[in-house]
This record gives sequence, structure tokens and C-alpha cells, in this order.
Amino acid sequence: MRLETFSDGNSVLHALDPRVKLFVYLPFVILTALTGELLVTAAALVTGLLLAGTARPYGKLLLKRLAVVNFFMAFLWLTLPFSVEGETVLNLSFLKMTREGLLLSLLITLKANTIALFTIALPGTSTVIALSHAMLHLRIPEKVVTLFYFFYRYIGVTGDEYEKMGQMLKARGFRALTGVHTVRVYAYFIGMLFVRSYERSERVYNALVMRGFEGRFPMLLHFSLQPRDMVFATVMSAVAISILLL
Amino acid sequence: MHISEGVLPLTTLSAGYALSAAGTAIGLKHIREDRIVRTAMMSSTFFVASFIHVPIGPANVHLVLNGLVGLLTGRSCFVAIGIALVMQALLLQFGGITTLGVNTLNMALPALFCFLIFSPGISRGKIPLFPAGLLCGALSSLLSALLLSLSLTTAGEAFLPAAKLVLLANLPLMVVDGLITGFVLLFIGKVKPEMLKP
Repeated sequence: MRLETFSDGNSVLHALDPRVKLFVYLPFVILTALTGELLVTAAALVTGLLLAGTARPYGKLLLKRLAVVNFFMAFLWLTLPFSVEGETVLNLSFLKMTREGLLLSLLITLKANTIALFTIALPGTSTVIALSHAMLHLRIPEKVVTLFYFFYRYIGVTGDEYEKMGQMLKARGFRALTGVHTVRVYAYFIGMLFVRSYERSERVYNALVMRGFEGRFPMLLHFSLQPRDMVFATVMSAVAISILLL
Repeated sequence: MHISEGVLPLTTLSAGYALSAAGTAIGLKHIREDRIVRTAMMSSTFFVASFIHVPIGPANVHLVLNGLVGLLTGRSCFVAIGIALVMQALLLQFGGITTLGVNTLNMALPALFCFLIFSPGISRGKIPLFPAGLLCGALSSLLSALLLSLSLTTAGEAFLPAAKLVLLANLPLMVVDGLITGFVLLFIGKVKPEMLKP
């Protein structure tokens, strides 16, 4: 199971300090999520596109991720143009499509896509381990970060288990169909996945205690701000302020 | 289903964050040092299990299983669900960072509720496992779908039809999640019954 799909690469963004990336990422996301102006959203979208272009992610995968984002948007496009009051652009006897409704759907779609681009270009270009270290440096409680670290570590293991068991089902001729049989097979599959994780968590914990684990990991990754990090933070702050002033 | 970025107003987003932060803080207090690994692993299994798609006619639904996670992680379910959602938001672009609080609340509150109602009976063997799981799974998905629709309506009256549509789209999931949770409990009850004791 590969999750950090965008984290290996050799662009400028990959090389930046993850703390700086988080520091730039959050204000941009909040700014975009809360704005009601199409112009501000468009400016943020251009910034997001430029950043994503700089990160040079794999095009096909990027489109696949954006498709996921836009799935939820379908619900809005199906309802908002008809439910927002305003100037009618299309009259289908019982349904009236309004200009304002269309604009609102467009605004929300652009906002969601912009934020997805920012997410892929900024935190997405760091490894999860680097990000969790960055979280510690940014004073997120240690217990949360330790939990997150274990969570991430064992997604890989559980994911392998999941794939292995999936192959086992296939080898026995299982095909997913609508019906109780499929549901029961999947339920036992999930049950086994949880039972194995539970037993593994006990083994891992015992092994950790034997090695003197006290509920936290020492920090191994120390970050130091480079000139390029300062330049990036300054440029992005300037961009954020000019977008705000639009 | 998670609410994506850019839809909800600031008040809903901050209320979601505030309530989820409270839930997470309580959850963290309940995780003793020897339970850190277990909670995290239950959370990663929850994350992986959500990749399973169950066919319903021509379409399929992906499992949520928040009721099951509630039963398995108890009072720390806000933490277990929260970290899985952080991962989905950062790496897979499901949901989002600004909506993280709301989405966590929508999934974890029903999970906690179901834990409080069903766990005492289940751990003492007072209620048969299959019906308990069926109810727990169906109820937690129904409550999650209701909370999701409710949070959508806070964005304005114009979002009411979208909220209804989302609720409707979640109904098949209720049935599937209920059945799955029922059978999973039967399985765990046979194979590893101590998992159901808090």
C-alpha cells in the first residue's frame, strides 16, 4: 500500500523544511476555505497550480486524486443551482436554475480543488515521518505524535496483511457479489484483520517494553532553516497578503 | 462520506474543531501508556478496512465501521478516528484540514455513543452479538449521516437539498455497515472474545 505517493521527488518543494511548508500551508488553506470571492479563489487557484507545477507530481495520479475531491462536488452541482434564489438562467417548468446557484457551485468546486493542490504540493511533498517530526517541533502533544507514528507505521503492515488475505480470497475463487455471502466473507475478513492487529499490538508493546520504551520516541530529525526556506516563506507571505488585498 | 473543503462557514468549522479537541483530550487521558500501540493499531486497521468496497447492485459502497471502532477503542475513539482522518485529508485528499474537526466529530460522536450504549451489554455477554452489532453498525452510520447533513445545512438554507441527497445516499451504507458489524462481532466473539472487553 503506497500512501506517500508524492513525497519522493527532487523539486525545490521537496527540499524545503517541513515546518516552513506547514507554516505556509495552513494560512493559505484557511484563507481559501473561508473566502466568498471568486477573484480571491481564482488567485489562490493560480498559486496552487504554480506550486503543484513546481512539485512536478505525476500527472495521472494528480488527476485521480482531484477526481476524488470532485466526487463530493457532484452532490452540490446536482442541488445548489436549483436551490439558491436568484436570477433564473434556465427554466425547466418545475425547476429553476439560477445564476447565483451556478456561481456558488463553481466557487466551492474551485476552493476544494485549490486546497487539494496546496495539500499535494506542500505537506504532500514531505514524508510522513518528517511531518510528524515537524509536528513535534510545532508543539503538538507528544502522545498524539507517538500515536500518529505507530498508526502510520502499522498501516503498512496491516495493508500488506490486507493484500495477502485478498489474494487468498481470490485463490479460493471468491468474487464480490450483492448478497449476504459476500457480506459475511468480508466481515470475517475484517474481523481477522482486527484480531491480527490486536495480537500484533500486544507483541509489539511487549517488545518495546523490553527495550525500555517509555511512551515516546527521541527526536532524530532536527531541522535547520536554510536561506531557501526563508525566501519561500517570505514570497508566500507576500502572495497571501496580496491575495487578501484583492 | 466526508465534507470537503470550502463549503462550511467559519462558525461550523470552529465548533467542529472545539468539540473534537475536547473529545480527543478526553480520549488521550484514557489511553494509558500500555494502550498507545493498541489504539494506534486499531486505528490503522480501521483505515485499511475502509478500502473495502461492498457491491450493492451495480454500484458499491465503501465501509465506514465507526460503530465497530467505537466498540474496540472505547473512550479513545476520538483519537483513533481523528488520526485516521488526518491521514486521509493529508495523503488522499478525502475530507480536508479545515473540515477535520467537523468530520471527526461526525464520525466519532456516534462511535462513542454506540460504545456507551452497547459495550456494557456486550462485554458481559448479556446481549447476543449479531443483533448487537447490527444495531450498533446501523445506528452509528445513521447518526453519522444525520450529523453530516446537519453540518451541511449550517452553510445556509440553499444546502438543504444537498443535505437530503447526502443522507439518502448514505442509507444503503447503513444496512451494509450494520450487517458487517454484526458478523464481525460474531467472529471476534468466537476467535478473540477479550477484544470486546473495554
